[in-house]
Amino acid sequence: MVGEKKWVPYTLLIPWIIGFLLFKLYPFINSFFMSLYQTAGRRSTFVGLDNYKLLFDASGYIGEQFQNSLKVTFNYVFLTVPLILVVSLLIAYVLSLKIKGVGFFRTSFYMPTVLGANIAIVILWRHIFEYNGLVNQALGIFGIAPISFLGTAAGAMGTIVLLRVWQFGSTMLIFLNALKNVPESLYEAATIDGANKARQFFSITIPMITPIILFNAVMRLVETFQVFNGPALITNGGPANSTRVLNLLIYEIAFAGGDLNLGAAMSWILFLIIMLFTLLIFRSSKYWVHYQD
Amino acid sequence: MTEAQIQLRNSKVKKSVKEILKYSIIILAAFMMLYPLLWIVGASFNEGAKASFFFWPEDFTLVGWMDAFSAPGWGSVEGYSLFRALWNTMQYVIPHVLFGTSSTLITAYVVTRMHFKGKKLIFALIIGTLLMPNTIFRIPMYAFWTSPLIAPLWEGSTAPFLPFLPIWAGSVFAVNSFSIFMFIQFFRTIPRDLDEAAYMDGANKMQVLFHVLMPILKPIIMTVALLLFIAEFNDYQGPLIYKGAVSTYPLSLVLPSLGLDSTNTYAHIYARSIVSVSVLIIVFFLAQRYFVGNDADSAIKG
Repeated sequence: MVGEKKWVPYTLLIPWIIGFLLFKLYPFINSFFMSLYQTAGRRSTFVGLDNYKLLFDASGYIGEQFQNSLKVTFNYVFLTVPLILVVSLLIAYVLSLKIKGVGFFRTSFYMPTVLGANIAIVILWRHIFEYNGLVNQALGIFGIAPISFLGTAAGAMGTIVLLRVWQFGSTMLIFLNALKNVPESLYEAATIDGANKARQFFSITIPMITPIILFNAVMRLVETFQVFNGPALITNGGPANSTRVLNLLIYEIAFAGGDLNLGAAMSWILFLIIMLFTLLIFRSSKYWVHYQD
Repeated sequence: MTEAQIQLRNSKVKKSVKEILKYSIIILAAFMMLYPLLWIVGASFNEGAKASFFFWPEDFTLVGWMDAFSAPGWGSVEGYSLFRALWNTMQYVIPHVLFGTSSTLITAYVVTRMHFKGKKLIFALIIGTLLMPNTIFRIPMYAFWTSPLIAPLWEGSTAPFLPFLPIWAGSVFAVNSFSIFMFIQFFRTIPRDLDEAAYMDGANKMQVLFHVLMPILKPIIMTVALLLFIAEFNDYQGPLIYKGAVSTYPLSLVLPSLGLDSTNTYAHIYARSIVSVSVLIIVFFLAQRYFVGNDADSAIKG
């Protein structure tokens, strides 16, 4: 632009630059330094990688807890993310067909996403899956004996997974938008060639939206690795640590327990795990993501 | 009937079966999705034990709703009510939404519409931090906010908004990369001809943003603001980590503390739950018509 003053963009970027330095870069680096220290009283001493050794020493109490949490978190993420993707894509696909009252249905499916993360609804979720809760009452109507959802490891995990899958709304909206952008001419050509709807879905729809599947998968992966509310408020990590996800353990050790250094080491490992999986997905994408140009 | 007629009839039957199937699936799915939210309304009018599966109350009572706004079971904390808890929540939600939306809008505008050295780097950092998990920032930021130099700024403060500073301060500095990303995506769809025409008329960058682009940006601004509102209103970990005196407890800390006792029944818990989520519902429906991905919106875009 002619006559544009050079300082204008930099001035406008000052808030972002401060935000990046103070709220991102500084804590990112500092959390690593913190993880190399141990604090007793007001004194911090440099201990190198001792905190990390503690976490990977399965014979110690902390190591045992940490490795259990890793396992629990993996279970949660690898149950939740595929389920969200499948459910939201299916619903988005049905909504993309010619449906009367699509606005009403879209709002209905989006509502749990607006409310579901609210503490009131998380608590409601606990009431629903309690022994005398809504789900067991519904099963009773069909003569099925009540199930102890929150009393068993599998039931408790299922309950918190379901709470998250229930909130598939934003993933669904992104898919819905992508489905609308698949050129109609592709379907018309396929119909002439005699391909049925199911065939069209797997041979046209899915390949055309693979970039969006990649986007949704990565966003949900990063998010679900950090799950907190459900395990904290519904199961409190139980029964027998079966839902004590990493973020909950970090909270207990760092904030409730006051050991920020050990917490920092744990969050660095969580960070590295998330980065590793993100990288793996991106690396794998060249085999299954189709870019149009 | 000729064979062709039979075939035609069969294909019609097949089609209407398909239609019925499609609607049955979607109505059943929508009903299952919404059922817990409908049930809680009935349950808030139900006296005594937990309401049954069918949400119509067996023993009708208004006690849950009449007590909903009084002190939630801890009368010892003077002047405490559900309204107070709601106001405490709003003291970090309001700054978060206002600052968060405007700072990320400006950042996205600069990155997409201005030319300067280092633009590529800044763009890469915005996209790079999009995938950074918040967990990695949380512990050092806690150490920062509770350090002897910084803590007096906010801890125990009686001014509005200030006791919640650690929760919303980041929004002033455009830390929400996802909001910036959404704005960037939207700016890219607006033709530059509009900007160029305004420059011809002698407008500067800021005038273009506020007078020329603003009407076009309205849906995305409302969408980003709505998403920030929902996320912050539902936040639990932030208020939990930086919690102060009981009188500053927001809704997300008050609601889990409500157990069943002599003064609190299920009706009380559910009435207060509904009050708390009704704010979300109202804001959602007010902003919904601007929501990107709306029918009208896609109709215009074709």
